Amino acid sequence: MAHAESLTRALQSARIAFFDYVPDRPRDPQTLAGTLGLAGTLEWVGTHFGIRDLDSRGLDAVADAVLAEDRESFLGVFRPGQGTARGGEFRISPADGRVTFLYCDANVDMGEDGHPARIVGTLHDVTARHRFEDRLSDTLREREMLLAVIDACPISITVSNGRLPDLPLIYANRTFETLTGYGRDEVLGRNCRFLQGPNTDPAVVQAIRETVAAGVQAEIRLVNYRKDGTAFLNRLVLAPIHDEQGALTAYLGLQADITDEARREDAERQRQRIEAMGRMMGGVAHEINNLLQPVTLLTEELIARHSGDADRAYLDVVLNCALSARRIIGDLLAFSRPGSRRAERLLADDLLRDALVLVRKAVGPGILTELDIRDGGIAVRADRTAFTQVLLNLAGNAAAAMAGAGVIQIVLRAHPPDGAPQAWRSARIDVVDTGSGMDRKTVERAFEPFFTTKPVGQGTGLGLSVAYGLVKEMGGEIILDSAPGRGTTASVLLPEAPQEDAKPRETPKPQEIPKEDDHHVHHTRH
Amino acid sequence: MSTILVIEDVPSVMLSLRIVLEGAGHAVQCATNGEDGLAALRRGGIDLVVTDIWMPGTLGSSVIAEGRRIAPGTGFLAITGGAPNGSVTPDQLARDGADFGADRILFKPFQRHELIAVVTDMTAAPGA
Repeated sequence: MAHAESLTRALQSARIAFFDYVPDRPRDPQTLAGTLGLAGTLEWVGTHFGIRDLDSRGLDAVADAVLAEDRESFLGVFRPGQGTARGGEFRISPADGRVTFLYCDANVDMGEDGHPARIVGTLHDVTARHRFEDRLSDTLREREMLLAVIDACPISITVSNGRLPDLPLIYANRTFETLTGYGRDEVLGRNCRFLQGPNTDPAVVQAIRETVAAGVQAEIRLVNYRKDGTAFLNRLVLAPIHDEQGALTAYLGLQADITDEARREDAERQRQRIEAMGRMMGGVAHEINNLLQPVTLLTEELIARHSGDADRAYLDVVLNCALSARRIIGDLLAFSRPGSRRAERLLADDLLRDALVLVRKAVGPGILTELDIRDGGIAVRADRTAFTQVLLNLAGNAAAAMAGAGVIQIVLRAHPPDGAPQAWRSARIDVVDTGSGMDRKTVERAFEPFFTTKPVGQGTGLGLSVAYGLVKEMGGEIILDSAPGRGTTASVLLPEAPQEDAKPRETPKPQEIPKEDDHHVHHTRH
Repeated sequence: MSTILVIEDVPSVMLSLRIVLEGAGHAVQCATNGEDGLAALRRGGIDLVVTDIWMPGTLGSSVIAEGRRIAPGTGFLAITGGAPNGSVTPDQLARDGADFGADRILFKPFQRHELIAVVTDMTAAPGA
């Protein structure tokens, strides 16, 4: 008996019950169908799982504790019928309210009538295992969801293995594929440097190397290349992932194409710089104008009093200087503060022909100008005088670049070319010279006031600045395309002016004008 | 010969204006700010006022508005070289057709013959 008692205790602590059930034999098989058929003798050893009245009510007490939705599983074990080895899982919620998962393993001795004569088995509390499995499947679901989210994330994400030499990629999401044009199978296992190319700054690459060596986080901008060879400006965020011991396990890489963003930022910086310069110049102009006033008036007064005098020549020099200063101030202001001139709707070819008359006189006898009108009839809104000034300045630079001898080609065409799908177009006037050309740094500074490559005393460095201001005022822009030894093409783009009675078209934004090649430097860049 | 009141805060500019205008045979009264200028106008006898626009204290445009009330028959010539803080430039003013309420406007630095021509024109006008 002591033996049985210790067995009961052992089963209780293991939350196992043993049962031996002998169903009552139905006297009338017909009545069986209407009952649960649970009447019988039940012997129960081990834990009661909180089920009450087990000893007095037998299997009915168990049946009452089983949750309604699990009743079928429960009956599956005890119901009269076929099958000698039966197993099932069901939940009970006895009076204490806690739900317990029970697993039942049963062996059935079949009677001669084909109904169970005796069912022997065990019941086992599997609640803990169930909780664990639930958690596990939650974890798995969560992980799958996270992976799906990361994969669908609109930011390019890569993971490199930090435990292997040279940090090979072990993950790249879909956006990485879209951004770079590389498929995952092409890049996994490789170091990310395959994105680098000719214009990638070696100093930045060195910075990446140092970041990774130090195992720290960094944000880096670098020029990267897609699979098709096109370049993009990549804002790369590198973030290390360490294990609990602090060892580097992986490097997270976030890549974003900020080419357009950087271009807009550059344009905005340029605009702000020019605006600030304009304000400063306006203030300086006020001071200088006041200073020039007495210089001009008193010199002229003296000239009037000393006409015929030998000293008069000196006064003429003073006056000329004052007048030159006045002109420079005026030019400066024209650059910095374009206002509204008398813009008219004019055909670009007419405008060009009229301006050329003056330009030909101005550039000197050694320079030939060739006019090539490829697309005529494009109307633009422009001020004649301002346009002539622009062309004079551009042609003057072209003539200077060719040291006063050569051919300036002036080409007028539609931009983009006719038939292109853009909703708007411009008249594009290229002023092409075969002169010395400019390097990239010079091109970038070319529109700055007082920036000049001409020898001291020749040119004020205002020509392009003034042209820039005037063209901007006409709603257009200037693009410089130049390389040392190849000459320079200055392109003036003036948006086509709609018919007066037509609906106004959307004004093109400068950054929408596509760059045609790498040497093509847009004036709003850098 | 006319009596011209010049309102100008910069002494050297004032000097040059006075020399040229006196040289052209006019009588010149000087005021270095708007308030003094208006006081001179109230005393009467002024045919033409030449006034700077951006001056400390009363602006030239206010001087002109107030001056027209005080002396309805007087002509007003504004002279300006733009705002000291760069917010307005002569270039802009010229294009915008700014006049500050004046009858004529000259942008600094103007030349002697320009000044004399405008002043002659304004003082010769009937009723001026």
